[in-house]
Amino acid sequence: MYTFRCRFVVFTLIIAVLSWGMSGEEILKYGIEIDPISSEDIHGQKFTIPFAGQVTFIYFFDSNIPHHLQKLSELDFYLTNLPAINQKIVILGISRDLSDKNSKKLNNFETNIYFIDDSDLSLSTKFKYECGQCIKILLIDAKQKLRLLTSEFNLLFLREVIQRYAEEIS
Amino acid sequence: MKKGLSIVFWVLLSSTGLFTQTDKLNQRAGILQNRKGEHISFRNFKKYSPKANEPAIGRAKRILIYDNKVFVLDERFHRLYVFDNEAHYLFTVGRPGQGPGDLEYPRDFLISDHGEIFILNSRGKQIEVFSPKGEFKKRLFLNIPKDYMYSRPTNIVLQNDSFYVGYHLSPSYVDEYNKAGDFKKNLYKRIKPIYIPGKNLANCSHMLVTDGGRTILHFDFFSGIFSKIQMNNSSILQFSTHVDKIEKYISRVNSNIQKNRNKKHSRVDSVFFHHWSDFCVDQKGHIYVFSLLSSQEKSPELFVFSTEGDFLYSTIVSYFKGKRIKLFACSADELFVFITEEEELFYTIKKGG
Repeated sequence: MYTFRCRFVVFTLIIAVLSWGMSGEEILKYGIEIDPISSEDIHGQKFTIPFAGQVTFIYFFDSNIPHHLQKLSELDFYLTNLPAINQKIVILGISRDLSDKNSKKLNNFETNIYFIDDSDLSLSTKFKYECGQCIKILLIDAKQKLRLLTSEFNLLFLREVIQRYAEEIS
Repeated sequence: MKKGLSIVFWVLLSSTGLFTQTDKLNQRAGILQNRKGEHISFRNFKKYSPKANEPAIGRAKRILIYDNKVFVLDERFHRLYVFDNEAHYLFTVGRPGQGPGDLEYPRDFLISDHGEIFILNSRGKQIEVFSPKGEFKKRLFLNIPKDYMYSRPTNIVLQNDSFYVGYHLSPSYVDEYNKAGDFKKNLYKRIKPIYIPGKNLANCSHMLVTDGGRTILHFDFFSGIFSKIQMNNSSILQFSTHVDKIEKYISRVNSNIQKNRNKKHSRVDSVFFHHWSDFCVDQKGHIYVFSLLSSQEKSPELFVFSTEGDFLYSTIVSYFKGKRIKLFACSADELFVFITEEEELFYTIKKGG
């Protein structure tokens, strides 16, 4: 009887701890507020992204996949040709493997893109990027709210959404 | 013993007879094929030519005529365009995005009796509701069954306070949902199983409410089979015509998928094939559909069925020589609107038929 009670108490405690952990976990969805992040880019420059007052475009990618780099260059071309938008937007390019060899591929981009090597998975964990070899895009508006969460790089679609939130900033 | 066998034989024969009476598949000769005077033709063609500040159509997914307005759903630009019945642009409903009232790969829409516009946001599995003037009103979430997780809703109709939803790949062609978006029941089940993981033929179809709200007409763009589903007892009448060239393609695609089935797959693949255009139903209940398998030099062929599913006739629409019609809609006052594969929008008036 005593053993049974002990087991019951332990089981209930485990369930309680697990459910508390799960409920405490923030789910990424449209409209949630994103806390500022601090990081270091591939050139060793430390920076903080407050998210407030700017539009932030976060692009999770795999630097070993040419298709992912090609999509990034499409975005770079679009933003380079729209300086009014370009000044209001910050782009974070986050990859789990930005070793020296892969970093060289990123030198040709004209827009200010902060490339971050996320080999410690801290940003991947924060933004629930679990795939590692796929694209994940987040757009955060000037009020720190998540406005877009997609795995599809459709420049027509992205262009309109980026432009709309950038134009909201006076 | 012999008597018993003969009874069984006659019962089987009569039941087969009943089935052939119900389904009207592979009809070869049109009832009115030789009565050319009764065939439909078109006059007064007019093409929509956008001005600098007017939208060009990117990838039209659905077209509808309602209250003397033409509604074109554009999946590429994530918007619904509204035109008058003289091919003039009026206004746009929705915009790209993921917020309330935003559209992300919309696949279908409907207009209720009160003029409210319901747009199916396929990627988000939501329905965005707009007023007749295009103002956003509310967002509904479709609570799609969890075992359909690989599936996206692609078709929607509304009747008697229920949504009827079709998907690109699912165990059911059509399911019923209540007006709050909660799943109620399967209405029309898919015949072939879905292989997870594996290669599957997607449900390429569209549906409309017909016969004054008593039936749902479901059309499969791959097989060319119309399925008329009675709302009250869920009985289904199937009908189609027979085009040799299309039948050859169908068997080729089926055997290719069957061959690939034995290969190892890591995910659920769905392949889409359209041998037929979208369809429309006029005020007489006649059902119109174009074959998409016409060569560049030929004009598209229009197939016409009666409301009971009898194949009436096929006719050539020579105005569209070298083009393929992918979508079209017809109104009560004889207006027909076509969209070609090149995303050109044409207006015309029906003559005869």
